[in-house]
Amino acid sequence: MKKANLTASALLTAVATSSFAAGPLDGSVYGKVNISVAKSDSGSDQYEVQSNASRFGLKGKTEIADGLYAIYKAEFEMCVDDGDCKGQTISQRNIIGGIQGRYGTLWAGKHDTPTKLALGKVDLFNDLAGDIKNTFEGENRQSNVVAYVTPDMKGLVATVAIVPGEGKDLDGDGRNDDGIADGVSASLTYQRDDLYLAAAMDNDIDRQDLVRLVAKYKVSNLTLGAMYQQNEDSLDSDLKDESGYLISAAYKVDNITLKAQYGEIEDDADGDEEDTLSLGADYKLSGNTKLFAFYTKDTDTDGDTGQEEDAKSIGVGLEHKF
Amino acid sequence: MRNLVLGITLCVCMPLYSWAEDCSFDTDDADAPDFANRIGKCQQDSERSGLLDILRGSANKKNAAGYEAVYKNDSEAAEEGELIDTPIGALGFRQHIPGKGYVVREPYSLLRGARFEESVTLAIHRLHLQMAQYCGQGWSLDKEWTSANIEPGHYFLHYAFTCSGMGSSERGK
Repeated sequence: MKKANLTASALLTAVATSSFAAGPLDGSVYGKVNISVAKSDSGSDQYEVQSNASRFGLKGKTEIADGLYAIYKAEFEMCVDDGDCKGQTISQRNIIGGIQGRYGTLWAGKHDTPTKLALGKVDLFNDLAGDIKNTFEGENRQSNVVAYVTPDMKGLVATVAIVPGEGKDLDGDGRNDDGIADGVSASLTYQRDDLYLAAAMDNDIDRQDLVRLVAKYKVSNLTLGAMYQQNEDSLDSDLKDESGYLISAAYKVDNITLKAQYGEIEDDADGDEEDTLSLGADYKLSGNTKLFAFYTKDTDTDGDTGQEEDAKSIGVGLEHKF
Repeated sequence: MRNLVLGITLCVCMPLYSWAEDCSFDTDDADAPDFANRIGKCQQDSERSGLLDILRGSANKKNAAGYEAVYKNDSEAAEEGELIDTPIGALGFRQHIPGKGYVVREPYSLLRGARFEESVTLAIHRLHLQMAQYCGQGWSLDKEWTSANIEPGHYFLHYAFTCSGMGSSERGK
C-alpha cells in the first residue's frame, strides 16, 4: 500500500512536471556563484573578498510555429561579497529576446558583442584580476544591439550585430548618431572537435575599430589558446593605435587544472605598453564546483618616461555552477 | 524598490523554472560564441528525452514511473571512441538491480556525408554497451524510439530497458 502510494506520488509529480513543459513556463534557471579572497597590491596593499561576476539567469525557447521559436535570455549579476553591484542589488548582464528558425537567429537586446564572445574560453582568468578586459580593448557589452546569427553549418557560425546610436555620439566625432548601424560588430567562428578558430571585428564600438583573431586547440590534457588583436581609435589612429597578443595554456591532471596566461599590447600612438601575466590552478570538487587559486601581475609602462606601474593580485576562491 | 520587486518576482518564479534543468548545459555556455544556438539545448533535451514520451504515450503507467533517464553528457559522449575499442569482457559490468528500468540514448546522423562514428550501427552498439553497464546480468528491451536532435538530419536513438529478474518480463509487456 505504501509502495503504491509512493508510486502514485512519483507519477503525479512526473506528470505535473511534464505538464509544465507544455505550458507557458518553459525555460530554465542557470547561474553561478564565484567568490574569492585575494590580496591586491595596486597602490594600497589589502585583502579583499570579491564576487567575480556571480550571476543567475533565465533562458528559454518556445516553439511558436512549425520550426520557428521564440527565444529569450535574461541574466543578472549578483554581488555576493557586499550586495553592491555599482549601486544596485542586482545588475543587468546579457538580456535578449529573439526569433530562431532553420535560417538562423535574430535577436535584440543588451549583450556582449560578437567580438567579445568570439574569444571563447581562451581567457583562462576571465572575471578575475587577470581578465583580459583589464588589458585589452574589445571586451564590450553593448546596449541596443540587433544581431543575426547563422545556423551552425558544420561548425561554422557567423554573427553580425548592429548598434543604432539613438542620438548618442558613438564614434566621438562630435555629432549625434541616429542611423540603424552606427556601430557594427561581427564574428566568424569555427568549432570542430578540439579545434576552435574565430575572426571578429568591431567598427565604432566603444569608439574603437578593432580586428581580433582567436585560436584554441586541445591536445590530450593540454589546451592551448591564442589571440591577436589590432585596434585603433574610431576617428584618429594618432590617439590610439594598439596591437597585441595573448597566449594561454591549461594542463589537466585528474581533478586539477594548471593554468598560465600571458599577454601584451603596445600603443603605437604614444608608445605605452601593457602586459599581463597570470598563473593559477583549479581543483574540481564535483562536476559543478571547483576551488581555484590565482596570481596575476599587470604592468603598465609609460611610453614617454619608461616608468612602470605594477598591479598584483593573489587569491583563492570557490565557484559553484547551477 | 524596483530591485525589491524584481527580486521577489524572481524568487517566486525560480522554483517553477528549476524543474527543467536536467542536462549538461554549462553556465558559461550562456556566454559562448554560439549562445543563441544553445539557448534551448537543455529544454529540447528534456522535452525530447523520450521519458516524457513514455509518460504521455504509454498505457502502462506503472512502467512510466519506474524508468530512470541516464543520458550521457557531451564530454562522456566524446570519449566513446575509447569505449568502443575496449573488449567488453574487460569492462567489468557489475551493476545489476533486477527490475530496475532505465532510458539511454545515443546520437546518430542520417546525412549523406555523415561519418562512421555518427552511424546508426555504431549508435546501437553503444546503446548495448550502456545496457550492459547498467544491467550486467541481462535485460529486456521495452521500447525504442527516435527523436530529432537540434541539427537537421541528426537524431537520438532511445532505448527503454529493464534489468532481468524481478518484474522485468512484466514491464516489457
